[in-house]
Amino acid sequence: MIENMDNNLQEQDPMAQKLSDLKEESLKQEKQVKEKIPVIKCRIKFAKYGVMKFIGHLDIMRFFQKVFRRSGIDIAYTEGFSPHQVMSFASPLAVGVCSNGEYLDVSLYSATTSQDMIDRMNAQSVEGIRILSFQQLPEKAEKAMSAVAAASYTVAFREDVKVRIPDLSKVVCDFYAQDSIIIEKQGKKTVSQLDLKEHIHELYEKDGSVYMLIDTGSVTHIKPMVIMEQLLTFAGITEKPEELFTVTREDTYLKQDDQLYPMNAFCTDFT
Amino acid sequence: MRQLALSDDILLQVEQPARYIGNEFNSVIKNKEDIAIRFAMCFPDVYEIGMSHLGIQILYSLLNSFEDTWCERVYSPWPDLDKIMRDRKIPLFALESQEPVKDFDFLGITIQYEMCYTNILQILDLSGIPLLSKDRTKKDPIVIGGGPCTYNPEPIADFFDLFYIGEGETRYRELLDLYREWKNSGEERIVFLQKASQIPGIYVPGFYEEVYNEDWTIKERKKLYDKAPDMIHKEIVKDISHVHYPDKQVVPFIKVTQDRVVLEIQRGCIRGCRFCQAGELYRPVREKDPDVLLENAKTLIKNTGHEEISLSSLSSSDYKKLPQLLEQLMEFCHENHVNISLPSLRIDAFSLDVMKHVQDIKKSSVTFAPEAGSQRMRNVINKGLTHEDILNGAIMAFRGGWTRVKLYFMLGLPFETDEDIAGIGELANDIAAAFFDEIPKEQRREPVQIVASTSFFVPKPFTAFQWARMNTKEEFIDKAYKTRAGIHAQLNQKRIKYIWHEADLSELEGVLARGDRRLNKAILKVYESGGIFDAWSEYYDNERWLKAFEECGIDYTFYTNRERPVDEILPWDFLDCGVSKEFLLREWENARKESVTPNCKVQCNHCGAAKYGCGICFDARF
Repeated sequence: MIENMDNNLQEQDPMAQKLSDLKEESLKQEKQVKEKIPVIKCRIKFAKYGVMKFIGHLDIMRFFQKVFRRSGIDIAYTEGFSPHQVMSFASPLAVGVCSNGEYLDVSLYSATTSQDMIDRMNAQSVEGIRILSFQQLPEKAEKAMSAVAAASYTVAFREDVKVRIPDLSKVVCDFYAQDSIIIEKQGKKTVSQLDLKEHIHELYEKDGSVYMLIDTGSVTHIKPMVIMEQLLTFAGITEKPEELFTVTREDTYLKQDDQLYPMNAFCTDFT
Repeated sequence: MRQLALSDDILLQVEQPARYIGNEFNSVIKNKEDIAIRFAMCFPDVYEIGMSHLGIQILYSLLNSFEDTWCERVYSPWPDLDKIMRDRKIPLFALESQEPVKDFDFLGITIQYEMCYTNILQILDLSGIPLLSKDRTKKDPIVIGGGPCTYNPEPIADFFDLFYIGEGETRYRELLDLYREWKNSGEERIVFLQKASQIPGIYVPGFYEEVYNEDWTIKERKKLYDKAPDMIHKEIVKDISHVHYPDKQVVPFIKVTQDRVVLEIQRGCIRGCRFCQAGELYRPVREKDPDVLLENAKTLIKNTGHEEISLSSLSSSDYKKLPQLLEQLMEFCHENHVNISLPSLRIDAFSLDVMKHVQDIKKSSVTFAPEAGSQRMRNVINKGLTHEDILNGAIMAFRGGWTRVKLYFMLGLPFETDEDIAGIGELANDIAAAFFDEIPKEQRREPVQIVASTSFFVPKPFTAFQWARMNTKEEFIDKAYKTRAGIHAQLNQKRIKYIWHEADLSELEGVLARGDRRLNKAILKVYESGGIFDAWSEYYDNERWLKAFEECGIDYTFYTNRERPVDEILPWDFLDCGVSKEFLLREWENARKESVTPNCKVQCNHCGAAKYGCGICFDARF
């Protein structure tokens, strides 16, 4: 047994040498690549719908990593022992919520055209995740995650519940016309007050649903259901908003010079 | 868009809704109108476990390669959903179509471990399929079982219409053709079963019964259908390099246990460890052509987008062209940012060098499976790993920068003595001492850390130890304490951590593994009193099993705590897994004599597997 093993070792020694050479060679190459090729920053817009609303944020990230690998897009990797793709999502979407305006930043070593990259990604995606745009980000742009300032939502009555708000358009209008909409926020120790009104940019009825554009992101994060809860109270309805509505995020916005723009407003197509 | 079987409300209140929605990349959707056979392939455990199983991926891909067949997947609903489905009477559905399993033509269940037996009943029950084969009608799916536990299918014989004995790639087309013909005829269900029993590898349990002696042993097996075969012979794939391989493995959304490409490099194992069932069942060893493997690997990585690939086999180091395969694979993987994981590698200079390239030394550990603490005991179990092998391997690993060593042992092996148990602590101590002797102080990145873990030995059918007496729970626990005391008595005990597994589960596994048909009743009783997910210690209820045995008049110790005479009729004697009973008997005697049997590469030991005319039996001789 022992003799056997020693033989094995001798036989395999040249192989071990080869492996070391291979590793050194590739390390060298890796360094060159990283030093010479600058990366191209990109922003991707996608929709999440149907059964994919049950897939949580972290799993969506993992899903995208695999889409990039399958589609052969020349995505940039981090350095270090286990390189991973450079990826930043604008704003995590809660499980159960659909979206027509999700954003994700990646870095590429090389790009083809926007349409080609969209097509390649969609060919490797599943029903419920659809790439809408794939554009170059201005060099100095803030990362998606930190740039997010607001998001718009459509809040619709669920088809399977009977409760409706009569004259919804007027109720929403009156609700928003209030001078302030104060809610109490339970902190760790203290209760603080927050005026929701300051964080609502738009709020109106549209085709029987409620449309809103509200602050989101790292500064102030307002959830659409918090607004709906206040609206229901205002309308004298006792049900919880989660039982009545479905939420769709329509778009995500960044702020520049005190103005809100869709996250891809300053991006340009690859042609 | 597909209509889900579960409402949004339900999906939002259960843990991990992704388990139940399907839609994964590479999952197969077919047009129902073009399909003659609907096949539900089930792994009776939670999604994350079931999705990690290569066998299902192989069969899923194989069955879907048939134009007339649509194979879908089914896993056990976790207890949270199980309760909702029962309360609201929602029938169990397949992931792809989201349609009820009850309307399928086949329900295939892979049976990988004994502790999933109650989950099989959960699957049948939630589907609305009668639990007992004899109660099913032409409207019900054909329930077929496969996998390692079918090498003693008797404890679950009442629940299945058919068992497929052996490797799934060979006989499904034949079975499906037979089914189509029968389905269009006006014939009774039993006619299909009769015809199926004539297909090699197909076992129809309903055509046999066990007759018992007063001492509770088996007197004889009676046939109830005269054309049913006396022996069922295992099916195997002869040309493993060119058999159907799933090039589009389904990619789950959520993290599953095996979250990577799995590349099977060989089937079988040359080693012949006497406790190991897989080592006997999958004989003879058949290696896949490395060129084919490399192509498979590239295709799989491209088609799945996985960031890791794992080589799968019972003992990868024994694969002849491993250096060639790894060299090419590492090159490809490096270019594509894919990691390689290498389970079941013997630790030597080569494997350490490979590991150094594919994993982070600081985070990884080296693993040895001596299985027993003393050389004497390792001879008993025919584990061809010596004290020197282990120490040399460990020293090489220490010099290479590793500081963590994992050691796997079993307690309760046949002929075990206190000295053998003491050997566990001594071996762990020797390894720790070797670290301090061999690695100068200034080169020690961090102190050595040794984790010794023990499991309790469960004798399995078709091994040399199939006749062995299994230890009682009390004996097991006593041995675990002795092991711990042995480790604590060592000089380097502070560097050694000891972990042991629960004894209750092992004892029950022992009952089910070598049980007979009388256990069906007890399993049914356990299920009816609420037992599911027995493989999960948080759901396992030992009392429930003990009560069921008592109510069924079963003294379960009959199956565990006695050495079986070699002339006793064993419940699985009617199966032929390729390895002859004479060979197993010889090995049982060799174990008693502490005599080592060389591995298949060194010499043929005439186990019987050569009759398949393939693999190492022929590579070695011609």
